[in-house]
Amino acid sequence: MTGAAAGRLSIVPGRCIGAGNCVDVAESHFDQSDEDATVILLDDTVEQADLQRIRRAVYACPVAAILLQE
Amino acid sequence: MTTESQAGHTDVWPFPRDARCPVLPPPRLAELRDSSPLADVSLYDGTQCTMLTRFDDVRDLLMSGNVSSDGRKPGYPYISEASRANRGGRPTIDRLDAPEHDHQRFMLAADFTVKRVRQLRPFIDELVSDLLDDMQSRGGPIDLVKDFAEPIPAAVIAKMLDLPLSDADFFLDRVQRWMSDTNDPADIRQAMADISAYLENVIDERSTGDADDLISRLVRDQLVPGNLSREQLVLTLHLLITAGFDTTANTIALGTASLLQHGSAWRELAENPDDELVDTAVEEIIRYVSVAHNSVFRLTTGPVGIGGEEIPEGRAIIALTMAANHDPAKFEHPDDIDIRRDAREHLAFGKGMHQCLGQALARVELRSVFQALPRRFPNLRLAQDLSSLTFRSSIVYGVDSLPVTW
Repeated sequence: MTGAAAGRLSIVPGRCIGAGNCVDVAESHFDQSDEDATVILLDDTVEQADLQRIRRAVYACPVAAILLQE
Repeated sequence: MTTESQAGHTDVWPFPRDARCPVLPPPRLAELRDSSPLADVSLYDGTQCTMLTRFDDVRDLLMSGNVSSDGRKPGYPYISEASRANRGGRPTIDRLDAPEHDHQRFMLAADFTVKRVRQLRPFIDELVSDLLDDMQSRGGPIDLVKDFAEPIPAAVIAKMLDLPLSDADFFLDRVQRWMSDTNDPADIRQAMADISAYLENVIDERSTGDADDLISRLVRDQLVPGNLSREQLVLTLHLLITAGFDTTANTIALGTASLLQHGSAWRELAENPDDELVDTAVEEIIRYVSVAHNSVFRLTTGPVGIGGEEIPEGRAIIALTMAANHDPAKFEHPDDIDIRRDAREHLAFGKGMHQCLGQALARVELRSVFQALPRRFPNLRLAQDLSSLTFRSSIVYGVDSLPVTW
């Protein structure tokens, strides 16, 4: 399973409020815009080793703006 | 739909805390949470509210699209006459709905991104280290609130807004008078007026020039082009100051007190202050003390399904994050502080679109504090029993002083 994609991330347009929880939990995959702090997806591929952390980031989002398809 | 309490009368919020465990939520909350998902509670003015105390329910309600935070709406619940007075009918982003809320929040959000606030870490570490040096050279006992907890957020806000640190005492006094739940409404309005006059002055001074502080940029980019009225700008700055001061300071004070009552946690942090343990401990401290105990009011704008029941439109809601954070269904032995627990899902910063704007900044401050304080003072202890101290009834929960020694 090592290296295989275990999930795919996407962002619900217009929903992010820039709270930054995703960056705090998983900066490997998320960043925030310098302009309005909204989410920038750095990598939409989630490998098995990152899955747990990414799930926490998805859950931490206060407005459910991050979707993870496993 | 809701349940009357056994005696046939309705509970009045806020409930008393247990003087023996003054940091913990009022014990009555556990009884309500055990008996039913929704409870009928009334407020000081007789407003009937539905109170939510279970973790999943509080989270779901705060994320629902059918709730309003607009404090101008008829029926919107206030905890006291003081709380009604401190808003003065002029809402800041915490009391606005979309799209006004989003518009104003996005003007501020870039200054509070995780990356931006983490750049403040060296400044905060140095500040914390200087305060600890002072403590060490003066010797115990000291008041951890006045001598350590309050100066940290004060200096950080002063830096972000480029205000003189010497004005911190002025702000702290006015913020605490403004936030009090028991203060006279006239004094609350005066405290608000004093800060507003001060801020008006600062705005005037910064209406020219190209300085890069947050106030100068808001003046240039939002006030001058007309995106934000002068009154809204004053209110927004007032919100940043009030939200940043007491929340972090009280989390430091109550968090330290709670850890010291569990000696092994303090020792563990003193001996092993690595980033991962400190991060985990900080989330647990934030959960455990849940200082923003009154930022929980909403009004339903449509039906909301909660715990198998339906709350109708137009109902005043108390979505009690503090109760959710002590729900044993979510956090095992919730009234124990366990610095190795994964508490990251706590609702202490709220949930939904109003979740705390300054949370990343709070985390940076708290991580700096709980990395340095136990290591520098591994033998820190309370110099007075917690039950003998004065706890504050305010928008934010806190303690007036916390004598500690070592």
